Order: sequence, then structure tokens, then C-alpha cells
Amino acid sequence: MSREEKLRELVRASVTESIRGALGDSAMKALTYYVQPDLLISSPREFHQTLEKIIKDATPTLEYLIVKDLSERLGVQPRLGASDLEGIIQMAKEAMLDGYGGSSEW
Amino acid sequence: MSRVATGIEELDRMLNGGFVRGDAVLVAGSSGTGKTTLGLQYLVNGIAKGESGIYLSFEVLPDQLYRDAKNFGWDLRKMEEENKLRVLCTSPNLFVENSGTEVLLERAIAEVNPRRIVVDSISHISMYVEDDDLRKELYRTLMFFKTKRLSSLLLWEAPQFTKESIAISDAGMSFLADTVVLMKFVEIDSTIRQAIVILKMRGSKHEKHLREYEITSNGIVMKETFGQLEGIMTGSPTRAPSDKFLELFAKAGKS
Amino acid sequence: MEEARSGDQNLSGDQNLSGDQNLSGDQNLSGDQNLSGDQNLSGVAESTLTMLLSSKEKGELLLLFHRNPGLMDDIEGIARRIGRSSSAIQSDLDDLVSIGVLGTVRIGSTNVVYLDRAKDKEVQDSIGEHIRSMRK
Repeated sequence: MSREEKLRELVRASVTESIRGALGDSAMKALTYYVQPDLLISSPREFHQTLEKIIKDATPTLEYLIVKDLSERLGVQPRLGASDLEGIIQMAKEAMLDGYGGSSEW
Repeated sequence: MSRVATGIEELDRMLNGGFVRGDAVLVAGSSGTGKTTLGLQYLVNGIAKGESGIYLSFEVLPDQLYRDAKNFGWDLRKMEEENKLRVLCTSPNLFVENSGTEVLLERAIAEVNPRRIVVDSISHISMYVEDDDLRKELYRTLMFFKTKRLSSLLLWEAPQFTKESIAISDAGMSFLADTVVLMKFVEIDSTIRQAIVILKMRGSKHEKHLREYEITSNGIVMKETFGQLEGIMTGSPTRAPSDKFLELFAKAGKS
Repeated sequence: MEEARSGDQNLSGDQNLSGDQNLSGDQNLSGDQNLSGDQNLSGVAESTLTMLLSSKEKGELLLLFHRNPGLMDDIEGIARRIGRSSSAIQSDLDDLVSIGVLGTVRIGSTNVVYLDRAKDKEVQDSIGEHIRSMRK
């Protein structure tokens, strides 16, 4: 499996399991139809904005759960804060680089 | 006499067909001997036979049990969705409170109409009850299960003792229980293996041999008896004289 | 999606509430909302969603009970399992009980909290419906 695929798999699992764990399967399927987990990798900012349009004030808590889940899967502590999506995605990318070596493709 | 089969073929044969229905079975063993696996397998096999069950844990969260069971191919969440199983977790202090047992179990009993229950583990209750009251508390629990016509498996975390009788360390559970099963580690030829024996089975014949068992990817599987080894209960058995004698004789013959 | 209403605007039939809204008897309040029964339900679901995830502690409690639906414990036990103090989660637990996702039962003098599976499923389904009904 390539680095990119591994990262995608990791992030998809974090996003779907965090939503499922908080709001259930029905909400997870509905939400990930509108907010693709892969968007979190390519643009955490856009992911946040799209999520906020749909679930509004519930966004910070859901992002906190996603960051926490991804941190646990990576075995790291979030650098900048409990809800820092950009930070945790950067850490995830770095972890993939460390795992495989080689230059960054992002 | 109606029997409750564990679904583990050779173990059921040792039990003369299974545990006696409605009995309280004490399964004692030190950490890692496979008591939880046996408990889950007992319930899963019961569900396969149309008997719903409850797994009551005082320490391990259901999430961990779901994951552990998945390793054996048992989908406990699915069984819960089908109302064939409930995996409950609570604190022992609530269980021993006045009417605690009834309140904690009543909804699960109403929802799945169980015939089997596993309690993991009875040892936790001892942390919340005075020594003098422990036996009374355990008796009350067993009687509650019997009035609900539940065939219960009560797991007991026993120390890995060598020469002491189990009764010394189990707060009288071995006297209260109808059946007592012991699971333990034994060392043979510098390898740790696992042994199971039926120490007691009220009102029924049972096999008296110690048997080896293994925890496989399909759960517990029984193996052979330990042949001419003796002192297995000590944890460090030796070969019976006849084997030793034959070995020496064979060596003398060669030289 | 959001309405523009201020406290000092008239609600006469042919006046604008804001640059793009009229309040004639049978018109929408905003471009995206009307007061049909479905939108009322959606409004309820939205406020339930907001209340369910109004704090990190609530998020962690929902995770705990959804992953362990058979958990039944007092507040100390629950707090211990998510690494918090009981005072830190009291009001969050109360909110989840008031929504109905969690239920309580009395054992002696202790309130024991558990997941109300039926009500929880109902809430989850309504939130799923609400999300599906929204436009991007």
C-alpha cells in the first residue's frame, strides 16, 4: 500500500469512526456524503468550512473527536491544540514520510 | 437431567454431556488461563443452540470484549442487535447494593430472555464486601440466578497456587457452587501448557482426569490427558516411575 | 440558510424583513426555510444535534456509551472511564439524560446511568434525516 493510500485509509477511519461513535451510523453516512473524509487531507480548512455549514455549532466537538482519534491512531499528541485539524493532518503526513522515507509529495 | 452444553466437544464429554441446567459453575484460574474465552464460548455456543445469554463484566469494557471475541470469529455486537445477547459492564459496588443485582439485570433479562449468564469476575465483588459478608453476598447472587432459571458461569481469579487447595483462597465459592472447574498453567519440559480439570460436579458423574487445552483462533480446544505425568496440580509435574524406569532400562540396554 | 430578523421590524404582510425576505402569509421566511412540519422536525433535530455535541465531554460520553452500550454505572464510575472528575461531567450527563439518549435508574441512594438504546436510535435516525435533508 502506498503512503498516500495508507494516509487516506487512516483519515477515513478516523473521520467515519468519530462521527459514527458520536452520532451513529445514519448520521455518519449522511454527513460523509456531503463532507468527504479525503477533503480533510487535501484541505483541512475547506473540510472545516463544509462541516460547519452542515452541523454548525456541533463542529468544534466533532473536530475534537476526529483529532483525538487520529492522534491515537498515529500514537502522537496533537501539537497545537485539541481541535487543530491542520496540525494533526500535517503530523499524519510526516508520520507517513517517517514510515516510508523519501521526499514529500504534498 | 437437562444439560447445558458448552459446545466444546471434549469438555462436554468430561461433563457427561454438559453442565447441569440451572447450576452455578465456578471457573477458577489465574490471569491468562482463558476463563473469559471459555465464558464467551459458552454463551456463543448457547446462542447457536437458541439460548440467549448475558455477559456481565466488572472490569473490562464491552468494547474490549467485542474486539477480543472478533479474534475468534464471534460477532457479539451482531448478537446484541439480534437480541440474543447483552454484554453489560458495571461497578461491583452497585452490584452488591440492596436490589442492585435485580435492577442492573432486569432490563437485559426482559429484552433477551436469557438462559445463560457469565459473571466476570466474582473476585471483584470481594473488593467491595467485608470478608464475613462475602459468602452471604455470593449466596444471594447464586440464588438470584437460580430463581431466574439462569445457568451461570462465575469466573474466579484464582492465584497460580502450587500446593494449596483452591478452597483456601476462594471465600467458600467452591462450597457454594454446584460445579467447580479449574484452569491452570503447567510447566512441562520447559514449556508452559494449560490444564483443565473438573474438581466437583454436584449430582453428576464427571471425568476426573486433567486434560490439556489450547486457546486457538476458534476458541478453546481440548487435547489429550497428560498421560504418565503426575503432580500436574503443583504446576511442575514429573514423569511417573514406570516411564523413568523404562528410560533407564533402555539406556542400560544400549550401553 | 440563516434568517435576517431584527427585533424592530414589522411583520405586516407586504413588508420586507430584510433585503431579500417578505412575510406575506404563505411565503418562506428565507430562501431555504419554510415552516412545514418537516422543517419543524428538522429544527428540533438541529437543536438536538447542537446540544448533543455542545462540549468535548459530551462527545466523549457519547463515544463511551455508543462503544459500550451495555455500560451501566454511577457518575464516579463513568467519570473514571473517561479520565474526568465527576463534577466535570455532571451537567453534560444531565443534558444527555434530558435529551433521552441516556436513562437513569436508582440503586439505593445512587443514580445509575445507562444508554437508552431505543431512544438513542431514534435520535440518531432523526439527526441522519436532518443532515440528508440539507442542501450543500
